[in-house]
Amino acid sequence: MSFLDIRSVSKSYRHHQVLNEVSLKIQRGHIMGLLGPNGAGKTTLIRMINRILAPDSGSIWLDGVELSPEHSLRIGYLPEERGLYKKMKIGEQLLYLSRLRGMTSSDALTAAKKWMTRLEMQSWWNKKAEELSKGMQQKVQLVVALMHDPDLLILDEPFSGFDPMNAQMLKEIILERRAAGTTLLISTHRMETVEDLCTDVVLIHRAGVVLAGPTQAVRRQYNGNQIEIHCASDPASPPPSPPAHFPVRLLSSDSLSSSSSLPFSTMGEPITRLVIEAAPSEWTALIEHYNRHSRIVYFAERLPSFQDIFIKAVGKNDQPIYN
Amino acid sequence: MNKIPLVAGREFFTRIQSRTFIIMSLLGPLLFGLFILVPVLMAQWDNESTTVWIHDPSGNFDSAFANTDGMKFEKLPQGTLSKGQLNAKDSANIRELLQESETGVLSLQVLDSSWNTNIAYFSEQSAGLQITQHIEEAVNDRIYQLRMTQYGLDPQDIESLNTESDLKAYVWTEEGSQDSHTEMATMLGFGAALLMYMFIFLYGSMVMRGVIEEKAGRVMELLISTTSPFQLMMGKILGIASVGLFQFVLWILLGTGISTLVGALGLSENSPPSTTTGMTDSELPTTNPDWMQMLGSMPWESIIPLFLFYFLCGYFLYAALFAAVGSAVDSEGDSQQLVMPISMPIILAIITSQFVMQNPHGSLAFWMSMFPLTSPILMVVRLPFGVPFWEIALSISFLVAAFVGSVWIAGRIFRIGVLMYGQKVSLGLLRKWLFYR
Repeated sequence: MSFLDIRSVSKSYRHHQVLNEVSLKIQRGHIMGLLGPNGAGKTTLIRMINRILAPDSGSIWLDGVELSPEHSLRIGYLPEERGLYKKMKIGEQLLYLSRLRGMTSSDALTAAKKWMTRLEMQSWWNKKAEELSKGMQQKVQLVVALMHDPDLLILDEPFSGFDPMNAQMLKEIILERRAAGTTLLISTHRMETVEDLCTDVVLIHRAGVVLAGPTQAVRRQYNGNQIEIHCASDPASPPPSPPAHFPVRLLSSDSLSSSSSLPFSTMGEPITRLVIEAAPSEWTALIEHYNRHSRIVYFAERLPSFQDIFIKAVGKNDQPIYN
Repeated sequence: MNKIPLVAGREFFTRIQSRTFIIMSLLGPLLFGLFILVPVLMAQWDNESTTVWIHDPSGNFDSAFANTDGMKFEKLPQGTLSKGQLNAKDSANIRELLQESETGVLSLQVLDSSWNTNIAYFSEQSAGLQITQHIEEAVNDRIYQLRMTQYGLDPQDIESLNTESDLKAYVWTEEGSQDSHTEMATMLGFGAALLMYMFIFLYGSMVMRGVIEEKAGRVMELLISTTSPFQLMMGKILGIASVGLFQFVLWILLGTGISTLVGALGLSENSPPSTTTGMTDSELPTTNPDWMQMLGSMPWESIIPLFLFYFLCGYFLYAALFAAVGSAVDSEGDSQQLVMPISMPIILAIITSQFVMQNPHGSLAFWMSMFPLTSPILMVVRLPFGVPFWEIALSISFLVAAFVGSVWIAGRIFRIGVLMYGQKVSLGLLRKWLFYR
């Protein structure tokens, strides 16, 4: 059973349909990357999971139960629009906001202290939010999302505004939360976040889901059956092209003088890189072919970056899904 | 889970700890005292007298004008007028007279044998009511006398015809007659209405600013992900009401404390300026036993609970509307246009209150104290005069219905408004939000 189950949810404002029959499942302990161009309806979806907005139709289920106010304590939320009370002390804000979630004051106090120590912000307790920089305020908001140890953590553009140090720290926290069994939904425009962290991905465009699934499966789906073969060979006698009767196509062939960009050491040997489009059924034959003529030092399936997938998926769906 | 107390608690404690609250709580009674004292002092200082030059060719009005505190009457100097008449040729002379500050020329021209008179007053700046009324009265009195003499009437006989009746108003109750203490009721009613007016504006707009602050500071998204908009709104309204009541109590305590202290030190008797300005003791309102007796005879046991009820209901009604406005706009500057329709009824009520005081049982008073947007102020004005039970009951039921209605409307607008940024909000748009799912 999936932990978060969104069942054909629709929402429209006046004449504008923001979400149309959107369904989505996240397994417990998975990290789902929520992608989509600006205005695709990501924030609306997130607001519905947070019960800020009600869907026009459809339903949202958390751990097998339809969403209700009681779920407040099980959901952590870092909104894209970051905000704190400017004139209120950080410590008091943490206590107030987590008590609104439903924590008791003593639990809130313990958790606030724990997280402030963890994120090296012990000295901020009596500071007012207006005295902190934007990045520092964002850390406070992150603590607000984490304090009650939620089962579902929703982070909207969590990395924007963080310096590399804090970004690294956030990454560690995300992985640590996942290991502890938390399910995460991360909305982002940064594709490296998806490649680094997400187990699953969903792309929303024009009010509907354009693609969804485990990260690797989605990449494979968009890979175009490309493989990359590196052969150790003298540049003077390059490896031959694939035989003409093979149903494959050589896309590029170049010799690599420097090994710095390779994932392995070539020990100074000259290398030729071949990019070939071939169905997986032909791969064994190809390997045999090249091993006969030279020595294969590297063989890999070439997966597209999420940048490419995003542009491809959004670009090809130029027809409006709704009318 | 009910989070209203939590929200209200935050509102209360963060606000009473703020510097502005502490300063205003301390300065409030002082400012209020100044508010009352300054006009009194100003009136005392304003003793620059006006000189009126009288041009009276008939010579009949010589005795009509007596010098007073603020006015001095003099005959027009010889030679000012070349032909004994005010005309353009003598303009230079007259202008010279008028150039001195606070002077005027009064021309009296008897038209016929029955003393009908043309009176004209000339001055550099238009004359105030105080001057013109004084002159009119003096001229009228003089003509009255002249006519009495003309008809051969003895002024003393005529004088003896005048009486000064003093009507005492009573209300007939089951126990017989009782003093209706009209003046006391007027003071009390108006004071309470003013208090109400202040409370609604001060703290109602505080609710609005609080909502705007949360919305502009973008903390709202987080708040409504944990708490329903209705609870947030009610928490805010209740929290700020407690702040207001707390501040009022502080003001009363401080005010009483200060005045007791001042009284104990005898400062009020030793202050020298007030004795030298010619204001006699009898002109100052004094607390005499009569007042205390009247205070004691007011039906407090019914007035106080009703007053509190109208006070709170009126505040809630308006605070909810203020909260709705706050939720709909992005900044305080944008709120003006929407605050207008809300403040109109309150201002109307406070303006109408003086007519209601004059005729507390008339139809204006009746309808305005039924209409829920004005009843919190106007029923309070009427209460000390005694209002029939059924009228109070009807007014209360309208008010409660309106209160529930305004909270419902505000809640609907609030829920949509807090998520809307960068919208040009009009009343039409608010109406649409009202009926969103």
